[in-house]
Amino acid sequence: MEKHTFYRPAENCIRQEMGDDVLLFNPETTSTIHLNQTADLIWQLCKDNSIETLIEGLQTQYPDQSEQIKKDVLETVDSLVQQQVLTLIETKPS
Amino acid sequence: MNYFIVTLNDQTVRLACNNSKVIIEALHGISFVESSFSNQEIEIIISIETSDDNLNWSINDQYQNKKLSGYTLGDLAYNLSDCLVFHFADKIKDAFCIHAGAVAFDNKAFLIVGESGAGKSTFTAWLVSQGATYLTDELSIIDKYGLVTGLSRPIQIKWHGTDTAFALVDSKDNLIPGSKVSGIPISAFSKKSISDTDKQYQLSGVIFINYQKLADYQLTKLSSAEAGIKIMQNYVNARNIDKFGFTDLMSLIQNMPAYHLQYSTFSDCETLPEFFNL
Repeated sequence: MEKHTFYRPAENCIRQEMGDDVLLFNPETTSTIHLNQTADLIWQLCKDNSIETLIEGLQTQYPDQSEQIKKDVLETVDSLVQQQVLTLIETKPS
Repeated sequence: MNYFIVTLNDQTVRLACNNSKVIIEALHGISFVESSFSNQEIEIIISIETSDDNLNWSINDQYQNKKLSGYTLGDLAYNLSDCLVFHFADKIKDAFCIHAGAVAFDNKAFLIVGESGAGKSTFTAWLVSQGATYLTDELSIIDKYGLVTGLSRPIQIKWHGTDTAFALVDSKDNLIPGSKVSGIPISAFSKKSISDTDKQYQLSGVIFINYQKLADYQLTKLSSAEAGIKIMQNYVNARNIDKFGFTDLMSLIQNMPAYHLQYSTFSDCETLPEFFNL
């Protein structure tokens, strides 16, 4: 049985595009983090998608980078959790 | 008792001191007026007392519930200005307070940002010795249009930087020596220029400095995101401002030239004033 893992972006974060990158201000922690385009995409897609769905979607678009995509997404999610802008909310079977 | 009102960006702090001469020297460069109000009429926020021989002083900051004492004018000036920085950063609600030095060339203002010990004050002193207008070495205030003011206290040099900084001044008579921190009033520079309260200085660039002994000179352009995140680390009154002022402050920084400077001697930096003229 496949599982689906959902994360929630931290509430009230203020997102600001700065050139090619993005800064995210978290009022809860009063900290600002710097997201590259990939991290920004993942942070935004986490709002409505499980991590597994997100990885699958990206792998469909870039089939030749399948393993790398999975590794990059998981590492990015881990980093965003550590920086307190993503929170694990639930893991459930599909 | 003598009474004073210190003003910055429409905010005021009230001081009382038993020795007006000492306080006038300690506040050198900061905008203040002597006042006739009495202790009963208006709450005193900071009280300063000096001993009869002027050798010892004490500060009672009622707002922070903090008491300090010491024995040199330089240390008094430093600690008093530090209390003022706290007050203003805590009270100002209509502008961004950034922990940074600031100077201007003509009407263009530049922020000098760095971590503690990075050499902000000494670098600011060097720029003033090169003809820059002094705005502040500690607290820069930027309104939503990008106009910059600052707390123009004497430039505060920690003990390990005094040899370098004092070599930049033209008159050592006015220095304000302290045991840990010494002050350089703007009058110590022959090319002195202090900010005119009626003049507006437009934020025109940010330089993040890092003094390192024996380091190679490097001037590196930063992306707007890199500059933004460094500015946020030095933004001290975010909680006073609607939505933390994040979007508005970043919009100002976004189109601003921003550089990281690593240096070990000022001789490496001789072309920088031209750079500031952009």
